[in-house]
This record gives sequence, structure tokens and C-alpha cells, in this order.
Amino acid sequence: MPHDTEIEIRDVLLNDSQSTLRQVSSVLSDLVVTDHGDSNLAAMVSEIESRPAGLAELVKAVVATYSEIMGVVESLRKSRGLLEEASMQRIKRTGLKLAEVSSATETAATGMLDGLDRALDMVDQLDASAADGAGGDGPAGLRADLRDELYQLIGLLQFQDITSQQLGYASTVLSDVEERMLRLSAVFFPDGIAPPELTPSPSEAVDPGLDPVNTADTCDPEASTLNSETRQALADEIFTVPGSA
Amino acid sequence: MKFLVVDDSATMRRIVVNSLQRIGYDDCIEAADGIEALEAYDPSVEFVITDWNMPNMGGLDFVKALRARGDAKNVPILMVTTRSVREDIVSAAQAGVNNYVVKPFTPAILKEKIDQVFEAIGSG
Repeated sequence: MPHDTEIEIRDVLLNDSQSTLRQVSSVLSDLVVTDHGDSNLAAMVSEIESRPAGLAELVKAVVATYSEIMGVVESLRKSRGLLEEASMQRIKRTGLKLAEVSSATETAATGMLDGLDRALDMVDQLDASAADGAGGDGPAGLRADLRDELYQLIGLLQFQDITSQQLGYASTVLSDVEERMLRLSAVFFPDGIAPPELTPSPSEAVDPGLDPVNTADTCDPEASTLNSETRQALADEIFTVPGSA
Repeated sequence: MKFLVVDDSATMRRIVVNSLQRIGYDDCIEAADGIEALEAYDPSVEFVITDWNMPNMGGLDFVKALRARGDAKNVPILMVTTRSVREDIVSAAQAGVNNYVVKPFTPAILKEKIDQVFEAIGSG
């Protein structure tokens, strides 16, 4: 994105150019409002040439305008470069970063599931020992509570799927922004100029093996870990009340 | 009873399979999208649990494709998904889904919905 100072410079240049163009218009009006009677170009040129002070003023204004317009063009060119830099590299990198987050959470969740499975096996072994008479009735209730707790923990890991979909949605939004910025950029410079290559900082580096996650097909924009009871109630209403569907 | 669990998230597949084991169903096969699921399905599958948002072929298209097959017209299907907008749920019902679970869910909810399906089809 353009920096504030560049936006200010561009605005000043545009204002100056507008002002200069008004001056040019005024000078031209002064020249045209002479009584040359017809549209004969030669006569018009002759008339201008007969007014050296006005011509000099006009030339000076045109040169100033040209210079300022080139400044605006250069400013726009830089803006386009910034737009392309942002859209082509930073946004793509952000998408890959999101993919990395998704992958990391998947890996972490899998590791936790492995650990929970092992813990559940241990609980089962405790149950077996108790059945053999090695333990009393007291620990059985505690083991049951522990088992329930572990299963709840497994259920909590659904956050991985849900956050993955949320990140995927963010990624599709970024892709959309990228496309819009490229279209905006093409309006200014349809011929295209290659954006500068940037070297990512270490914090921006991503695993090149990752694909940008989640298209619109694989993520639900409304995915949420909140209010699942309310949302389940709506599904229950539709599936249990005749005619709801 | 053999279950087919379809979800593009390996984590979610494990959670669903764990939950099924918790409520007494140990025989599960898995697929990561609708296309894999259509290939994995055979008449020995007695219950299908599918996600909605998946690559290649999503859950809704999978359900429609499965219902169009002669060998799967009556297999019970439970949709387990984050999608909870009324129009989506209605679409799932119209496509042939027998019951619907909104993520995140508990093993108790999963059992309740599976039991409801069996009660509805009279084979519980």
C-alpha cells in the first residue's frame, strides 16, 4: 500500500497540476478571445506569434504542466509498484502463512490425540486390574471420571477443524483483495511492469511445500466454536419437526 | 456395525472415530472427501457420517451421488458439519441426509443423533 507521505505528495502534485491547467486554460482563452473572425489556423498562429508575451507565458505553462504530469505519472507508477508488491507477494505469503498455521495446529492436535489414546489405554488397564481384584470400588468412580474427562478433551480438539476453516476463509478474502488490487493496478498501467522482487524477512519465510489452504469449497465462513447448542437446536427443529424442511 | 466416516480433516476423522468407539461402534473406515468416499462405499457399510465442506467433492454432492446409487438408497447418513444456516440444513435434509450434527459436538450428541436415525428407520 502507498505510504501516507506518498499519498500526500501525489495529492499536492494533482492539485498543482489542476491549478496549472487552469492557468493554461485561462491563457488559451485570452488568446482565443481575440477577434480573428474565423478558424483559419494560420491566422490563429500568426495572431499568437504577434503576441510574444502571451506565447511565452503559454509555453512556460505547458512545460510546467508537462513536468507536473510526469511527476504524477511517476507517482502513480510507484503506487502501482507498491500495489503489486503488496498483492503479489505479501498477500500470497500471508495465505501461505495461514496454511502453515493450519498445518501446525493439525500436527499439534494429532500429537495430543496420540497422548490421549495412550492415557485411555492406561485407564483400561486400570479397569482390568480392578476386575482382577487388585483394587477396590473407590478408584473405579475416579477412573470413570478420568475417562470422561479424557473423552471431553478429545472433543475439544474439534477446534482444529473449526479454526482451520476460519483461517481458510481469511485466506480466500486475501485472495479476493489480491485480485481487486491487481485489477486496480492494471487500470493505471495496462502494459504492465514487473514488480520488484522482495527478499522475505526470516519472520515472513514460509514452507514452500505448503499449498495455500482452503478454497471456498473447503471452508465455512460461519464456522464457529461458539453457541453450538443453539445451532444444534435449529438442526433438530428441521430434522424432527414434520414439514420444517 | 460398519461406519464410513468422511471428513477432509484427519483430526476430525479421529475425533469422530474415537467418539464412535466411545459409544460402542468399533468398525470404521475413513475417506477424506466425497470422491474417496464413493470409492470406499460398499453395501457392507451400514452407516455413513460425512462432513460438508471438503475439497474435490463436498458432503452435499457426495450425499446426492450416494443416494443416486442403487446400493445406497437407504443407508443412514448423518451430516456432521460447522454449517448451521437454516438454508444449508434444509438442503441437507432435501438431499437425503437422515440427521444433522453441528460441530463442535460431544459423543453424547453423536450417540443421540445416531439412535434417532435408527429409531426413525426402525432398525435400531
